[in-house]
Amino acid sequence: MEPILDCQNLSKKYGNFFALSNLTLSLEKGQIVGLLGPNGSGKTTLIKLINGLLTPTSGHVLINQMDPCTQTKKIVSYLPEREYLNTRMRVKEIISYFDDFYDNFDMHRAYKMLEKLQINPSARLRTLSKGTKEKVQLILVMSRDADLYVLDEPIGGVDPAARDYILNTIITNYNENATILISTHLISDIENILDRAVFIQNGNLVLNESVDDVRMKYGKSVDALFREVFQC
Amino acid sequence: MLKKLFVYDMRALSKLLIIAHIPLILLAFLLRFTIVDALSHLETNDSFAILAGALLVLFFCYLAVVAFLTEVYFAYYTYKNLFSDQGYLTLTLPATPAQQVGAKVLSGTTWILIDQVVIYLSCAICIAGTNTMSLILDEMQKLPKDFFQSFFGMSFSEIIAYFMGSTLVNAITAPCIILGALCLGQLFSKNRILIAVVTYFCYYFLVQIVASGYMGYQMASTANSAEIFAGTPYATTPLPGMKGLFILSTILCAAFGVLGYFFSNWCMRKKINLH
Repeated sequence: MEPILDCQNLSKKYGNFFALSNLTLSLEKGQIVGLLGPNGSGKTTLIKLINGLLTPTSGHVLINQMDPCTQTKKIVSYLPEREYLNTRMRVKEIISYFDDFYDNFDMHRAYKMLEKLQINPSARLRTLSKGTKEKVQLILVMSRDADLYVLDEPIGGVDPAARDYILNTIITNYNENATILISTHLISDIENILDRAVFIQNGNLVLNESVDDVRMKYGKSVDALFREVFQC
Repeated sequence: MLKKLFVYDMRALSKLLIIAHIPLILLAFLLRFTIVDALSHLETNDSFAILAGALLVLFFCYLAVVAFLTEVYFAYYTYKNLFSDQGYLTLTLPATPAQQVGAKVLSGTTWILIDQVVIYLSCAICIAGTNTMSLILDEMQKLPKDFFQSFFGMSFSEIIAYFMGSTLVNAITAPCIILGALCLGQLFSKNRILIAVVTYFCYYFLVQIVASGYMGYQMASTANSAEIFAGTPYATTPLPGMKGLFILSTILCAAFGVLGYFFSNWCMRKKINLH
C-alpha cells in the first residue's frame, strides 16, 4: 500500500540555520501518529511543508504520491497552531466558507458538534474565549472527510478538560481509513490514542516506531522515553 | 474556485469601502443644493462664501482620501488575507496560485472602478445644477471650434476616450502592481511590509520621473515655447506632447501591471514561505 505521506531527504534552511535536515519519513494510511519534539525541533516546519506553506530547500514531500498542490489540499485537513480565522466573521459564516470551498466538508456534523459544545453559531469569533475559538477551529477541521489530518499543537493552549474533549473529538470524528498526524509536546495526554510515535530534534528524525514497539523495546512509555531523549 | 474566492474578497472589501463612499455622494448632494445652486449669493454674502469654500475644500479632500483609501485598504486586505495568519487558511484552500492572484486582481479592479465611478458621479452631481450647467455651456460655446485639437493636440472626444481608457487601465493594473510589490516583500526574511511599500513608491516615482522628463523634453524642443506660457486661455500653440504623455503614461502603467501580475503568479507558485 502506498504511503499517504512520504518525505525524502527533506530540508528547510533559513539563512545558515537548518530547521529541517535531510528528514526521511513515510506514514501509512489509517494510523494516528504523534509528531513529538521539544519547542523549536522542526515540527511546525515539517507541517507547513506538507501543506505547501513553505518551499523546501531540498528534498521533496509527497502526499498520496503528489507534490503539495490543489489536489493534495482537497484531501489534507490542517489545523494550524495559531488563530488563523478572520475574527470578524460569525461562526456560521466560517462554516459556510468551509462548506463552499471543501467538497468533503460535512456541515451537519459541524453544527452537531457546535450544539454539543453550546457554541452559538451567530457569535462572532472575536467574542469567543481562546479555548472556544480553538474548539471551533478543531470542529472545522474534523468536519471534513479527509485522507490526512494534520493537527499542529491542538491541545497546547487549553485546560485539561478541554484537552480531553479535543482528543475525544479527534477519535470519534475522523475517518478510520485516514491518517492523523498530531504535533505536540504534551505526550502523556495523547499517548493512549497514538499508533505511532515520531521523535524529531533539531530538524532531524530521532525515532519512528509504533507505540507498542517503543514500550516493548525500551520498556517504558512514550512519555518517559521522550523525557529521557529530550532531557535538558 | 476563482468565482468563490472573488465573491468572498468582494464581501470583505465592501464592508468598509461602501461605508467610506456613501458620505462622498451625500457631500456632493449637500454641496449641490446648499452652495452650487445658490452661487449668486457669493458676491453679496461673505459668510456664504466662507461656507462654500470650506465645503468645497472638504469635498475635494474627502474625495482624495476615499480614492487613496480604496487602494490602501485593498493592499492591507490582500496582505492580511494571503501573508498573515489568515494565509494559513487562504493558502491551504484547494485553489491554484493563479486563481488566488486572479481573485485578488479582479476584486481590486472592481472596487477601484466603483471608486472612480463614484468620484465622477459625485463631481457630476456637484456641477449638475441649472446655474453651473448654463455657465459651463456658455463658456464652451465661446471656445474656438478647434480649441481642443489646437491646444492639446487631441479632440474633445479623444480626451474623453483617453480618460475612460486610462481609468480602466489603472483599475486593472493598480491591483497587479500592489500584489507584485507585496510578493516582492515576501521574498525577504525581514521588513517585508516596508520593502513592499518602498517598491510601490519606487514604481510611482519612476512613472512620474519618466512622464516629467518627457514633458520637459517636449517643451524644450518646441520652437515657440514662449507662447506656451502666454497666459491666454485660448492659446493656439498646443501644449506640447500632451497626447504623447497620455499614451506614454498609460503604456508605462500597463507594462508595470503586466509585470506585477506575472511576477505575483511566479511568487505564489514557487516562492511562498509563510512565517
